[in-house]
Amino acid sequence: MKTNKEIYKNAFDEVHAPAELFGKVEVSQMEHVKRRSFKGLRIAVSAFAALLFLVVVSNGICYAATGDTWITKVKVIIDGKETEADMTWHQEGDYMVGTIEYEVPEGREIFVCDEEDVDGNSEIEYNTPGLTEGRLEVENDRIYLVVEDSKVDITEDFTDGEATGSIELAGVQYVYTVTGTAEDYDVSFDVEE
Amino acid sequence: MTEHEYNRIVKTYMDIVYRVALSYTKSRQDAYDVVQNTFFNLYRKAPDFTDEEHVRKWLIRVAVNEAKNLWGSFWKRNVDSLHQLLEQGAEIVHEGNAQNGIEEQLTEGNVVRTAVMELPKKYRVVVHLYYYEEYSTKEIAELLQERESTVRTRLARGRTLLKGRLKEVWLDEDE
Repeated sequence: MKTNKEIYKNAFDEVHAPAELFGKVEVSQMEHVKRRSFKGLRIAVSAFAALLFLVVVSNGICYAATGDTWITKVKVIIDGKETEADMTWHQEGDYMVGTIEYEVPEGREIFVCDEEDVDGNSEIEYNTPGLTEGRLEVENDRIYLVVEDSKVDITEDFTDGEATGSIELAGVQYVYTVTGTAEDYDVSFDVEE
Repeated sequence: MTEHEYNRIVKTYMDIVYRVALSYTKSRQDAYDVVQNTFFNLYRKAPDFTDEEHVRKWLIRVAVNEAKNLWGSFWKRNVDSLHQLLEQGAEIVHEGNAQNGIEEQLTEGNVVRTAVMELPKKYRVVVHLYYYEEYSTKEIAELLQERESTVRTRLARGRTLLKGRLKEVWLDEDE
Protein backbone atom coordinates (compact mmCIF):
# COMPACT_ATOMS: atom_id res chain seq x y z
CA MET A 1 0.00 0.00 0.00
CA LYS A 2 1.28 3.45 -0.92
CA THR A 3 1.97 6.03 1.75
CA ASN A 4 0.39 9.46 1.58
CA LYS A 5 3.72 10.93 0.50
CA GLU A 6 3.89 8.46 -2.36
CA ILE A 7 0.29 9.22 -3.35
CA TYR A 8 1.02 12.94 -3.26
CA LYS A 9 4.31 12.66 -5.13
CA ASN A 10 2.79 10.48 -7.82
CA ALA A 11 0.04 13.05 -8.31
CA PHE A 12 2.37 16.02 -8.63
CA ASP A 13 5.10 14.19 -10.53
CA GLU A 14 2.65 14.43 -13.41
CA VAL A 15 2.80 18.23 -13.29
CA HIS A 16 5.55 19.77 -15.39
CA ALA A 17 6.35 23.33 -16.29
CA PRO A 18 5.31 24.03 -19.90
CA ALA A 19 8.24 24.01 -22.28
CA GLU A 20 7.56 27.63 -23.25
CA LEU A 21 8.46 28.71 -19.73
CA PHE A 22 12.03 27.55 -20.22
CA GLY A 23 12.35 29.91 -23.15
CA LYS A 24 11.01 32.78 -21.07
CA VAL A 25 13.72 32.53 -18.43
CA GLU A 26 16.67 32.00 -20.75
CA VAL A 27 19.50 34.44 -20.27
CA SER A 28 18.59 36.29 -23.45
CA GLN A 29 15.05 36.87 -22.17
CA MET A 30 16.33 37.96 -18.76
CA GLU A 31 18.48 40.54 -20.49
CA HIS A 32 15.43 41.82 -22.35
CA VAL A 33 13.52 42.20 -19.09
CA LYS A 34 16.43 43.91 -17.39
CA ARG A 35 16.93 46.43 -20.15
CA ARG A 36 13.30 47.46 -20.37
CA SER A 37 12.38 47.64 -16.69
CA PHE A 38 12.43 50.89 -14.83
CA LYS A 39 10.92 51.89 -11.56
CA GLY A 40 9.13 55.15 -10.98
CA LEU A 41 11.39 57.75 -9.49
CA ARG A 42 10.67 61.29 -8.42
CA ILE A 43 13.48 63.45 -7.17
CA ALA A 44 14.16 67.08 -6.56
CA VAL A 45 16.95 68.31 -8.76
CA SER A 46 19.21 71.29 -9.09
CA ALA A 47 19.82 73.31 -12.22
CA PHE A 48 21.42 70.47 -14.12
CA ALA A 49 20.32 66.97 -13.30
CA ALA A 50 22.22 63.76 -13.80
CA LEU A 51 19.95 60.94 -12.77
CA LEU A 52 21.83 57.80 -11.92
CA PHE A 53 20.27 54.37 -11.92
CA LEU A 54 22.42 51.77 -10.26
CA VAL A 55 21.44 48.24 -11.18
CA VAL A 56 22.86 45.22 -9.45
CA VAL A 57 23.51 42.33 -11.78
CA SER A 58 25.51 39.17 -11.52
CA ASN A 59 29.09 39.07 -12.67
CA GLY A 60 29.05 36.20 -15.09
CA ILE A 61 25.74 36.89 -16.74
CA CYS A 62 26.46 40.56 -16.94
CA TYR A 63 29.63 40.07 -18.89
CA ALA A 64 28.03 37.46 -21.09
CA ALA A 65 24.88 39.37 -21.82
CA THR A 66 25.68 43.04 -21.92
CA GLY A 67 29.04 43.79 -23.43
CA ASP A 68 29.37 47.43 -24.40
CA THR A 69 27.48 50.55 -23.44
CA TRP A 70 23.95 50.86 -24.76
CA ILE A 71 21.32 53.56 -24.73
CA THR A 72 17.64 53.19 -23.93
CA LYS A 73 14.84 55.72 -24.30
CA VAL A 74 12.88 56.76 -21.23
CA LYS A 75 9.96 59.11 -20.78
CA VAL A 76 10.58 62.18 -18.66
CA ILE A 77 7.82 64.48 -17.42
CA ILE A 78 8.75 68.01 -16.46
CA ASP A 79 5.97 70.31 -15.27
CA GLY A 80 3.46 67.97 -16.83
CA LYS A 81 5.16 67.96 -20.22
CA GLU A 82 6.30 64.58 -21.43
CA THR A 83 9.51 64.23 -23.33
CA GLU A 84 11.94 61.51 -24.20
CA ALA A 85 15.48 61.20 -22.91
CA ASP A 86 18.40 58.88 -23.50
CA MET A 87 19.52 56.69 -20.63
CA THR A 88 23.08 55.57 -21.16
CA TRP A 89 24.03 52.28 -19.55
CA HIS A 90 27.53 51.10 -18.84
CA GLN A 91 29.16 48.56 -16.63
CA GLU A 92 31.11 49.49 -13.51
CA GLY A 93 32.46 46.38 -11.85
CA ASP A 94 29.53 44.35 -10.60
CA TYR A 95 26.99 47.02 -11.45
CA MET A 96 25.18 48.41 -14.41
CA VAL A 97 24.82 52.17 -14.15
CA GLY A 98 22.28 54.08 -16.20
CA THR A 99 22.60 57.85 -16.57
CA ILE A 100 20.21 60.49 -17.87
CA GLU A 101 21.44 64.04 -18.23
CA TYR A 102 18.75 66.66 -18.51
CA GLU A 103 18.66 70.41 -17.96
CA VAL A 104 15.74 71.66 -15.90
CA PRO A 105 14.89 74.84 -14.01
CA GLU A 106 16.21 74.92 -10.48
CA GLY A 107 13.90 73.46 -7.86
CA ARG A 108 11.78 71.49 -10.32
CA GLU A 109 11.06 67.83 -9.98
CA ILE A 110 11.70 65.14 -12.51
CA PHE A 111 9.61 62.03 -12.72
CA VAL A 112 10.94 59.13 -14.72
CA CYS A 113 7.92 57.06 -15.69
CA ASP A 114 7.53 53.37 -15.16
CA GLU A 115 8.49 51.43 -18.22
CA GLU A 116 7.38 47.87 -17.88
CA ASP A 117 8.43 44.89 -19.90
CA VAL A 118 5.96 42.87 -21.89
CA ASP A 119 5.00 40.82 -18.85
CA GLY A 120 4.38 43.80 -16.62
CA ASN A 121 7.54 43.41 -14.57
CA SER A 122 8.91 46.67 -13.29
CA GLU A 123 11.50 45.81 -10.77
CA ILE A 124 15.00 47.14 -10.83
CA GLU A 125 17.08 48.43 -7.97
CA TYR A 126 18.28 51.98 -8.23
CA ASN A 127 19.99 54.68 -6.31
CA THR A 128 19.10 58.34 -6.42
CA PRO A 129 21.61 61.13 -5.94
CA GLY A 130 22.15 61.69 -2.25
CA LEU A 131 20.26 58.57 -1.23
CA THR A 132 22.25 55.45 -0.55
CA GLU A 133 20.75 52.02 -0.67
CA GLY A 134 18.79 50.87 2.37
CA ARG A 135 19.58 47.62 4.13
CA LEU A 136 17.91 45.45 6.76
CA GLU A 137 19.48 44.59 10.09
CA VAL A 138 18.14 42.09 12.61
CA GLU A 139 18.76 42.78 16.28
CA ASN A 140 17.10 40.95 19.18
CA ASP A 141 14.45 39.50 16.86
CA ARG A 142 13.58 43.00 15.59
CA ILE A 143 14.01 43.98 11.94
CA TYR A 144 15.33 47.45 11.17
CA LEU A 145 15.57 49.36 7.92
CA VAL A 146 18.85 51.23 7.98
CA VAL A 147 19.41 54.13 5.57
CA GLU A 148 22.47 56.26 6.08
CA ASP A 149 22.23 57.38 9.74
CA SER A 150 18.52 56.59 10.11
CA LYS A 151 17.08 53.39 11.53
CA VAL A 152 13.41 52.37 11.40
CA ASP A 153 11.86 49.39 13.22
CA ILE A 154 9.70 47.63 10.58
CA THR A 155 9.20 44.33 12.44
CA GLU A 156 5.40 44.35 12.66
CA ASP A 157 4.83 45.98 9.30
CA PHE A 158 7.11 43.46 7.60
CA THR A 159 5.37 40.30 8.82
CA ASP A 160 3.51 39.88 5.53
CA GLY A 161 6.64 40.41 3.46
CA GLU A 162 6.10 44.09 2.71
CA ALA A 163 6.66 47.23 4.74
CA THR A 164 6.10 50.82 3.70
CA GLY A 165 6.58 54.06 5.55
CA SER A 166 8.13 57.46 5.59
CA ILE A 167 11.68 58.46 6.39
CA GLU A 168 13.41 61.84 6.34
CA LEU A 169 16.89 62.12 4.93
CA ALA A 170 18.79 65.35 4.52
CA GLY A 171 15.59 67.36 4.77
CA VAL A 172 13.76 65.31 2.13
CA GLN A 173 10.85 63.05 3.05
CA TYR A 174 11.01 59.68 1.30
CA VAL A 175 8.52 56.82 1.16
CA TYR A 176 10.30 53.51 1.54
CA THR A 177 9.03 50.12 0.44
CA VAL A 178 10.66 46.93 1.66
CA THR A 179 9.62 43.56 0.23
CA GLY A 180 10.84 40.01 0.72
CA THR A 181 12.27 38.52 3.87
CA ALA A 182 14.86 39.66 6.39
CA GLU A 183 17.45 37.62 4.50
CA ASP A 184 16.41 38.35 0.97
CA TYR A 185 14.79 41.71 0.38
CA ASP A 186 14.35 44.69 -1.89
CA VAL A 187 14.27 48.30 -0.73
CA SER A 188 13.02 51.16 -2.89
CA PHE A 189 12.37 54.85 -2.29
CA ASP A 190 10.21 57.58 -3.70
CA VAL A 191 10.11 61.18 -2.65
CA GLU A 192 6.90 61.70 -0.68
CA GLU A 193 4.20 63.69 -2.44
CA MET B 1 27.32 32.88 -11.40
CA THR B 2 28.08 31.90 -14.97
CA GLU B 3 25.50 31.65 -17.72
CA HIS B 4 26.07 27.90 -17.76
CA GLU B 5 25.38 27.62 -14.02
CA TYR B 6 22.27 29.78 -14.31
CA ASN B 7 20.87 27.63 -17.08
CA ARG B 8 21.68 24.47 -15.13
CA ILE B 9 19.72 25.75 -12.14
CA VAL B 10 16.78 26.69 -14.37
CA LYS B 11 16.74 23.25 -15.95
CA THR B 12 17.10 21.44 -12.62
CA TYR B 13 14.60 23.42 -10.55
CA MET B 14 12.01 24.72 -13.01
CA ASP B 15 9.46 22.01 -12.20
CA ILE B 16 9.97 22.44 -8.45
CA VAL B 17 9.40 26.19 -8.62
CA TYR B 18 6.41 25.73 -10.95
CA ARG B 19 4.73 23.23 -8.60
CA VAL B 20 5.25 25.47 -5.58
CA ALA B 21 3.85 28.41 -7.53
CA LEU B 22 0.82 26.39 -8.60
CA SER B 23 0.20 25.14 -5.09
CA TYR B 24 0.09 28.73 -3.89
CA THR B 25 -1.71 30.52 -6.71
CA LYS B 26 -3.92 27.76 -8.20
CA SER B 27 -3.60 29.73 -11.41
CA ARG B 28 -1.42 28.66 -14.29
CA GLN B 29 -0.93 32.23 -15.50
CA ASP B 30 0.04 33.42 -12.04
CA ALA B 31 2.35 30.43 -11.71
CA TYR B 32 4.01 31.48 -14.97
CA ASP B 33 4.57 34.94 -13.54
CA VAL B 34 5.90 33.58 -10.27
CA VAL B 35 8.34 31.30 -12.08
CA GLN B 36 9.59 34.10 -14.30
CA ASN B 37 9.98 36.51 -11.41
CA THR B 38 11.72 33.88 -9.32
CA PHE B 39 14.32 33.16 -11.97
CA PHE B 40 14.65 36.85 -12.73
CA ASN B 41 15.59 37.30 -9.07
CA LEU B 42 18.12 34.50 -9.45
CA TYR B 43 19.54 36.15 -12.55
CA ARG B 44 19.66 39.58 -10.96
CA LYS B 45 20.96 38.68 -7.52
CA ALA B 46 23.04 35.60 -8.33
CA PRO B 47 23.32 34.44 -4.70
CA ASP B 48 26.46 32.67 -3.58
CA PHE B 49 24.99 29.23 -2.96
CA THR B 50 26.79 26.76 -0.72
CA ASP B 51 25.15 23.57 -2.02
CA GLU B 52 22.17 22.23 -3.95
CA GLU B 53 19.86 22.30 -0.94
CA HIS B 54 20.67 25.97 -0.52
CA VAL B 55 19.64 26.56 -4.13
CA ARG B 56 16.37 24.66 -3.69
CA LYS B 57 15.41 26.45 -0.47
CA TRP B 58 16.30 29.86 -1.90
CA LEU B 59 14.20 29.32 -5.00
CA ILE B 60 11.22 28.03 -3.01
CA ARG B 61 11.37 30.95 -0.57
CA VAL B 62 11.55 33.49 -3.39
CA ALA B 63 8.73 31.72 -5.26
CA VAL B 64 6.50 31.84 -2.17
CA ASN B 65 7.24 35.54 -1.70
CA GLU B 66 6.53 36.25 -5.35
CA ALA B 67 3.27 34.32 -5.07
CA LYS B 68 2.30 36.33 -1.99
CA ASN B 69 2.93 39.52 -3.92
CA LEU B 70 0.67 38.35 -6.74
CA TRP B 71 -2.12 37.19 -4.46
CA GLY B 72 -3.86 40.55 -4.16
CA SER B 73 -4.20 40.99 -7.89
CA PHE B 74 -5.28 37.37 -8.19
CA TRP B 75 -8.32 38.00 -6.03
CA LYS B 76 -9.13 41.22 -7.83
CA ARG B 77 -9.40 39.35 -11.06
CA ASN B 78 -12.09 37.13 -9.55
CA VAL B 79 -10.86 34.03 -11.27
CA ASP B 80 -11.29 31.80 -8.25
CA SER B 81 -14.59 30.33 -9.27
CA LEU B 82 -15.79 26.99 -7.98
CA HIS B 83 -15.93 25.69 -11.51
CA GLN B 84 -12.32 26.55 -12.11
CA LEU B 85 -11.27 24.92 -8.87
CA LEU B 86 -12.95 21.67 -9.75
CA GLU B 87 -11.29 21.56 -13.14
CA GLN B 88 -7.94 22.83 -11.92
CA GLY B 89 -6.35 19.46 -11.23
CA ALA B 90 -6.95 18.17 -14.74
CA GLU B 91 -6.21 21.45 -16.48
CA ILE B 92 -2.86 21.91 -14.79
CA VAL B 93 -1.58 18.62 -16.09
CA HIS B 94 -3.37 18.84 -19.41
CA GLU B 95 -1.78 22.10 -20.49
CA GLY B 96 1.71 21.45 -19.21
CA ASN B 97 1.87 17.93 -20.54
CA ALA B 98 0.26 18.79 -23.84
CA GLN B 99 3.00 21.33 -24.45
CA ASN B 100 5.60 18.78 -23.47
CA GLY B 101 4.15 16.12 -25.76
CA ILE B 102 2.88 13.82 -23.01
CA GLU B 103 -0.49 12.20 -23.55
CA GLU B 104 -2.90 13.00 -20.74
CA GLN B 105 -4.72 10.30 -18.83
CA LEU B 106 -7.19 10.78 -16.01
CA THR B 107 -5.66 9.11 -13.00
CA GLU B 108 -5.78 8.95 -9.25
CA GLY B 109 -3.32 11.80 -9.46
CA ASN B 110 -5.98 14.05 -10.95
CA VAL B 111 -8.29 13.33 -8.02
CA VAL B 112 -5.50 14.09 -5.54
CA ARG B 113 -4.49 17.30 -7.27
CA THR B 114 -8.07 18.52 -7.38
CA ALA B 115 -8.47 17.81 -3.67
CA VAL B 116 -5.23 19.67 -2.92
CA MET B 117 -6.28 22.65 -5.02
CA GLU B 118 -9.54 22.87 -3.09
CA LEU B 119 -7.66 23.36 0.16
CA PRO B 120 -7.40 26.89 1.54
CA LYS B 121 -4.21 28.61 0.41
CA LYS B 122 -2.54 28.61 3.81
CA TYR B 123 -2.86 24.82 4.05
CA ARG B 124 -2.01 24.10 0.44
CA VAL B 125 1.56 25.36 0.46
CA VAL B 126 2.38 23.68 3.76
CA VAL B 127 0.94 20.39 2.52
CA HIS B 128 2.92 20.63 -0.72
CA LEU B 129 6.23 21.43 0.97
CA TYR B 130 5.68 18.59 3.43
CA TYR B 131 4.46 15.84 1.13
CA TYR B 132 6.24 16.68 -2.08
CA GLU B 133 9.43 18.47 -1.10
CA GLU B 134 9.65 16.40 2.11
CA TYR B 135 10.61 19.30 4.33
CA SER B 136 10.10 19.07 8.08
CA THR B 137 7.68 21.43 9.77
CA LYS B 138 10.66 23.31 11.16
CA GLU B 139 12.13 23.79 7.70
CA ILE B 140 8.74 24.84 6.31
CA ALA B 141 8.42 27.38 9.10
CA GLU B 142 11.77 28.84 8.11
CA LEU B 143 10.83 28.93 4.42
CA LEU B 144 7.49 30.61 5.03
CA GLN B 145 8.67 32.86 7.87
CA GLU B 146 6.00 31.39 10.15
CA ARG B 147 6.06 29.83 13.59
CA GLU B 148 6.58 26.08 13.59
CA SER B 149 3.44 25.65 15.71
CA THR B 150 1.47 27.48 13.01
CA VAL B 151 2.87 25.19 10.34
CA ARG B 152 2.01 22.10 12.40
CA THR B 153 -1.55 23.32 12.83
CA ARG B 154 -1.97 24.06 9.14
CA LEU B 155 -0.51 20.70 8.18
CA ALA B 156 -2.87 18.88 10.55
CA ARG B 157 -5.91 20.75 9.22
CA GLY B 158 -4.80 20.21 5.65
CA ARG B 159 -4.48 16.48 6.28
CA THR B 160 -7.93 16.36 7.83
CA LEU B 161 -9.46 18.18 4.87
CA LEU B 162 -7.65 15.94 2.39
CA LYS B 163 -8.84 12.85 4.23
CA GLY B 164 -12.39 14.18 4.09
CA ARG B 165 -12.15 14.71 0.35
CA LEU B 166 -10.10 11.69 -0.66
CA LYS B 167 -11.52 9.19 1.84
CA GLU B 168 -10.08 5.73 1.10
CA VAL B 169 -7.33 7.11 -1.17
CA TRP B 170 -5.73 9.04 1.70
CA LEU B 171 -4.46 7.13 4.72
CA ASP B 172 -4.99 8.11 8.34
CA GLU B 173 -1.81 9.48 9.86
CA ASP B 174 -0.55 10.17 13.34
CA GLU B 175 -0.42 13.89 13.91
